[in-house]
This record gives sequence, C-alpha cells and structure tokens, in this order.
Amino acid sequence: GYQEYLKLKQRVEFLQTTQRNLLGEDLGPLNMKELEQLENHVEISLKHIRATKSQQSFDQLLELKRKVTHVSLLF
Amino acid sequence: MGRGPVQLRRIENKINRQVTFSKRRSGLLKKAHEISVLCDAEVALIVFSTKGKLYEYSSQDSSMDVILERYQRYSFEERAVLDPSIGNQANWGDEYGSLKIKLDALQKSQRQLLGEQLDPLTTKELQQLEQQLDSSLKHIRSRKNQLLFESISELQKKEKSLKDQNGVLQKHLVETEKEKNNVLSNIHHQEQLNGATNIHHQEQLNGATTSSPSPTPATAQDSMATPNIGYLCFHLVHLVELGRAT
Repeated sequence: GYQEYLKLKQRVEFLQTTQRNLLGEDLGPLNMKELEQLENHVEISLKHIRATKSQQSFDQLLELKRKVTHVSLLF
Repeated sequence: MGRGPVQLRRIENKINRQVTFSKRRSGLLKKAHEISVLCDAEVALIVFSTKGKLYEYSSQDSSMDVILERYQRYSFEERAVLDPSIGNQANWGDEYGSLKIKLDALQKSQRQLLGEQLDPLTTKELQQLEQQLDSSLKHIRSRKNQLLFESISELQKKEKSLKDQNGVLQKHLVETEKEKNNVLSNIHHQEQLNGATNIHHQEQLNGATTSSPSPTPATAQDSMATPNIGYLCFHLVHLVELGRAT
C-alpha cells in the first residue's frame, strides 16, 4: 500500500537526481571520484551517440544514392 | 521597527530586501522555536532564499525528516478522508500507476542519456542529445577544475604554515646553540682565571720554595675535553658562585 508507493517515489527521486547530474546540473554534492565517474559515463555516451549519428548519416547517404541511381535509370 | 505600515509587496531595493530577509528570517525561526517550546507543538520551518540557500528549523534535532514524513502521510490520509474514494484500491492504483508511468519515462530517457536504446531517435533528436551531453561535459569538467584549484590552494596554505613553523624552530635551534657555546666559552674562561689565581696563591703560601704540586687546572681543562650539558650546568653554577665570592 503506502509503503510501496513510498519506495516507488524514492526510486523516481533517485532517477531524477541521476538525470540532473548527467545533464551537468546539481554537481555541488559530488566529490572528485563521483565527478570523474560521471564524466566517464557522459564521454562514453557521447561516443555511442556520435557513432549512431554517423551510422544514420551513412544509411541516409546510401538511401539517397540508391534513389539517385533509380531516378537516373528512368531517364 | 518599520516606519509605518509595511506594504505587502516585493521590496524593490536590493539591499533593503536582503536586510529585511535577514531580519525577518531570524525572527521567524525564533518564533517557530518559541511556539514549539511554549505550546508543545511539533514544528518544521523551511525557507529558501532567492539565491537558493536553505534555512530550516525543526522542533527536535534531526527530526525534519520525521516531520516531513508525517506531513506526507497526513496529507495523503487527509485527502482520503475528504474524498473516500482515494483510500480505495482502484484510485490508489491510479496514484501508484501514474507514478509508475513517470518512472518508466525517466528510465527510458536515462537510457538514452547513457547512449543506449538510441534507435527510435531521429537525427534531430540525436543532435539535441549530443548537444545536451556536450554542454554537460563542459560543466562537469569545469567543476572538476574548480575542486582541483581549491585543493591546490589549501595545500599551498598548509605549505606556507609549515614553512613558518620551520623558520621558528630553526631560530630557536640557533639560539639554543649560541647559548650552549657561550656557556662553554665562559667555563673555559673561568677555568683559566681560577687557574692563574690558584697558582699565584699557592706560590704565596709556599713562599719561595718550588711551586707545590697542586692540582693544576690544566688537568681540569683536559677533563673538559668532552663535556656534557649536565656537567657543564653544574660547573657553571659552581663558577658563578666562586665569581661572586672573589
């Protein structure tokens, strides 16, 4: 009942704090070690995001090339 | 006290506003404590300044959390009293359910912030995410640098204070050495003086006869070759007394 609600609430609050830290906010209470861990997480995440972006660009390029070839074949 | 009735509006003057905040805040905290003591009430007071600094009071030490939990439970239960359907499992499920939805949304966005489950995102969304994390990285790094600078300046202060202590101790050491050397040369000097007068006395006593083999201070001086501080101090006191006698 109420206890479970409380636990869920705590989880939500914890996630919210982590979220804010990942966005570079509320860094005050973090010590050096925690800051380094956070920096690490963000760096790795950026790597993945950039890799995904590259992949998407590549796929889009392929698609466009295919379309161009297709259209040019019509003429 | 205020000059006349105070207008209940935001104080425009920055300094007056800050001063008033300071004064009224301490008054408020005082009143909270008083009512809690006088009337045996459980009181919690929370004030956030415009700058975001927290000022708080609670009736017993470290019971702010207790009072807050009591408040939550009370307001939840009170709503159930006012609206009986809330205590009901169905609506209760709603409350819990909406929180669950919130949790799931948070978890999903958290995954994406960590660079996982990026598939459903469009190029534009990915771009936005990248920019968010990039600026976050800047903040994190600048905060790291701030901490490093702070600890460097702490250590520099420590270094200076230790150097100063070192200097004081060095001075002390030099002065102690000087005193020790003075003591030594005084003793030697006194020994020489006493040696001369002793021989003189002995010759007078013995008349023109050969100088009697009195224990010359020469041997006494030789035995002084390796003195220790304790021996020196005793000797110094003895000589000072002799000096006074003559």
